[in-house]
Amino acid sequence: MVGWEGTTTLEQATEARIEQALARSAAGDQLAFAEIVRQHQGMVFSLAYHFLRDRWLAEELAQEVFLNLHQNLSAIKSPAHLTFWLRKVTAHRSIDQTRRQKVRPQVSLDDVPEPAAHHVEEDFMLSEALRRLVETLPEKARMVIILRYQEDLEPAEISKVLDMPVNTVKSHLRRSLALLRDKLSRSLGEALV
Amino acid sequence: MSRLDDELKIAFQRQEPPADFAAHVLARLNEASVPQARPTVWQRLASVFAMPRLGYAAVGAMALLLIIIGIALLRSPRPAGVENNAPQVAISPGNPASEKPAAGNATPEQNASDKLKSGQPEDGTNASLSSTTAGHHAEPSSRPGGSHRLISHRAPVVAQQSQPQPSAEALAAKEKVLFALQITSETLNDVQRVISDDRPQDEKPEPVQKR
Amino acid sequence: MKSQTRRFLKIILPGLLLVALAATASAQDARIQMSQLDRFNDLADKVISIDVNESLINLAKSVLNPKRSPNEAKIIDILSGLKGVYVKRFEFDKEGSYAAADVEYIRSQLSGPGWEHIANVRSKREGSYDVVLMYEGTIIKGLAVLAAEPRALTVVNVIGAIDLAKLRDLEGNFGIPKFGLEQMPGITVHDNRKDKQPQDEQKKPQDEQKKPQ
Repeated sequence: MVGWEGTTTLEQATEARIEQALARSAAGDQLAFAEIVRQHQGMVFSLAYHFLRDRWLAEELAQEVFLNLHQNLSAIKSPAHLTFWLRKVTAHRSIDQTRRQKVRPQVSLDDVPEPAAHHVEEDFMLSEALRRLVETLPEKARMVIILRYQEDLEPAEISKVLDMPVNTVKSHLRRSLALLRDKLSRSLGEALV
Repeated sequence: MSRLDDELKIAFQRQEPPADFAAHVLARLNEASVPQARPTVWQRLASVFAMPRLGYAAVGAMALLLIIIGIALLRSPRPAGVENNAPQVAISPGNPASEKPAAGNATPEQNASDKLKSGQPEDGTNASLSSTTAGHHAEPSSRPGGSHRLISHRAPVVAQQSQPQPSAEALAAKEKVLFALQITSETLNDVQRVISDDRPQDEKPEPVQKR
Repeated sequence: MKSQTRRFLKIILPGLLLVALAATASAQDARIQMSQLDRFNDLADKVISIDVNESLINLAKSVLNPKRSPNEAKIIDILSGLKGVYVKRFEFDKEGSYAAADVEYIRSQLSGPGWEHIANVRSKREGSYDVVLMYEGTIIKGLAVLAAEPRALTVVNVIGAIDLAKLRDLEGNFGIPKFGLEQMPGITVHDNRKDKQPQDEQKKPQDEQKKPQ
């Protein structure tokens, strides 16, 4: 994006726009708020969807997160803070939602797909298998995995989002990955190192 | 990065919600706005002074600029020898749709516009621009006096003399573009106004900080 | 050599053509078709129809000077990403002058691929408003606004990299008065209501003359 004097990077330009949108939203500008929603809806929805594995529920939850954001706009200090806030609220709400439902989907090894020939479908099936296996993890461990691989967060960042000690995050990661590796290799007959 | 890491990244790629997600959020926002405690008179008064310093400075600077421009316009008569190439608009109060230019103020541009009214095509510019006063956006003219008033949005004489004269075509293009942007801007702000106005009256919070 | 050159051109030219078409297509994706609304040109009381393409925008930019005023700097900033601005506005003297189908004709295009609704307002008093954006990554490359009011229908289509906030900030800051635009060079007046008046006024004196007799 080219400014009048010189050139700004895309990230800087986007961040400047979000900062402006934040200020306007706090002053009651709903179109500006809609821009903020548009910029972050993918992240919020995906976190909820990958955790809850229910599109409708994820959409509801994501909407509630943004409604909550609207009430707390004045507390948001910067675009980076906004991203952090959205991740944190989405993560906690998703965990609370699961606890309210008291549903822990049980996926047996029999449900994991059989090894298939090596073509495009296998990749899809592998992804689906991974998602279903992650779904069986305890809530906090599940969210740690999702934040790590969807948002590419480091353990230190995950610990701040989930209000969890860093070592606990690392422990969740280690154990969950070992479990996934083990289950997949047994069902698919190949090692995922 | 292990293969499992790669596969997990693929499996947990971000997914987009439905296309009208943002619109739904706004709709819910307006339906279920949480009633907030009405700020007291003192809080409202305090909000007036809660503008950031920069805002005050900007407002002050704008006001000062407008005053200076106003004084300059009032004081300086139009030099006879200076050719006024900038487009001028005649406004007849009470009848914004009037076609007649102010008497005695016909300029080459006015004559060109008269020609166009008679149906002669304009060279160079693409497509036609047919326009009237945007009645929806026009405010009733309540200027006292009842005399015709010329509003000139020409550049300062000094700046014009140092620059090559722009062609009538370019000036017309500029006005056309500005007009288009103005309508766009107004329409967007109308949407914002309707969104704000349509919130339930009894739940409508008083915004503490206004733009 | 000649045959090699020909072969080379035969391969390269279609490729270049495809690239050019793709570029044009991607720029045109954000363009809304409004031709069906032209039937209101004679029916509406007032019509505003503006087609500003990229060459006009560049021509306009050539006479703007950012050092002359902050407003001009802002306008240049906005124009620098734009490829086109297309506006149609029809004002009617009574409600119900246009059909829901006319609105749906536009709205259906705004539900097409790539468009994302950011505002969808339905007001009994004011009418309905749709604001949609087309994105390329995080950059807005198209904007469309449909305002279906009781006595007016407005469609705005802006193509190019847009900054909504800057665009909205421009209202009232152009140095163009908000009314009285018909005296601007290059603009023809198109007011159906005024066109009807002279005929009515002409009739009156004749009728008055006839009556006493």
